[in-house]
Amino acid sequence: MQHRMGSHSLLLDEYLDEFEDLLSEIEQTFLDLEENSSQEHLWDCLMRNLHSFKGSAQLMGLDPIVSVAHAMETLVSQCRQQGENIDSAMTELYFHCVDVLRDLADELGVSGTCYHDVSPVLRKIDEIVLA
Amino acid sequence: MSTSDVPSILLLENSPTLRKWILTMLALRGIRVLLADNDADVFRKTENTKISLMLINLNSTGLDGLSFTRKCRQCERLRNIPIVLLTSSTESCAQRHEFIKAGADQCMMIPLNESTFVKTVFQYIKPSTIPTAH
Repeated sequence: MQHRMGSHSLLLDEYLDEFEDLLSEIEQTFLDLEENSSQEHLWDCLMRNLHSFKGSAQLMGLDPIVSVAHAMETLVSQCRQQGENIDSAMTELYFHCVDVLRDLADELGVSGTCYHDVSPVLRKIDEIVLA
Repeated sequence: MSTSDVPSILLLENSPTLRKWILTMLALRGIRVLLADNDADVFRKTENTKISLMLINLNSTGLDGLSFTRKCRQCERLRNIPIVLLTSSTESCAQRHEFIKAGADQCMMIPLNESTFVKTVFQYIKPSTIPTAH
């Protein structure tokens, strides 16, 4: 299914700049947490950035991006609540999500449309969250 | 009405996308917006300008909602200016209630909806005080 923006297409340049800025920060914070998951401010920063990331996508009506960001939030929130360390499997899944998000942004930049199927990555996250 | 009498909204919103959306919504309705870069800037920018409403995204303040609201309410100049906090689902209902108790007038959840947003703004800025376009 394609997700085309409606009346917000005029915001696309701002959105794509913000997308990359926030995603880069999210990536870096995740890597920092992998090194040291006891730093509460890093978890706060990650949650805040993920939430802003999702909020902008919601405003733009980009459901596939919202879904992936929401799943990433759920995953991080569960990991934090359970006091788990970030292991290599989780890191791999997280960066797979980041890759999927960048694919979506590329599609958006080129055609103004998101058509990448995000259901496989959402299923993978569900498997971990519901395990 | 002189330009200095036109009601202004002070906006603190770090998301470029949301900021542009808000600016567009308000410009369409002839409302002047003053942008603040951070919470310190909120206090600086309100020194010499008449502000009718402060729209503040909590994620952009660098302070938690309670501290920010209390700081505004302790400031003589900002004591009576309405504050609408832009909050997200990461803030619980109880937290939002605390912000109101601390002096915020309202919390609006992101993502914003155009009709709710405009309706909320017009609760604090009366359309009759906005100059009409000729």
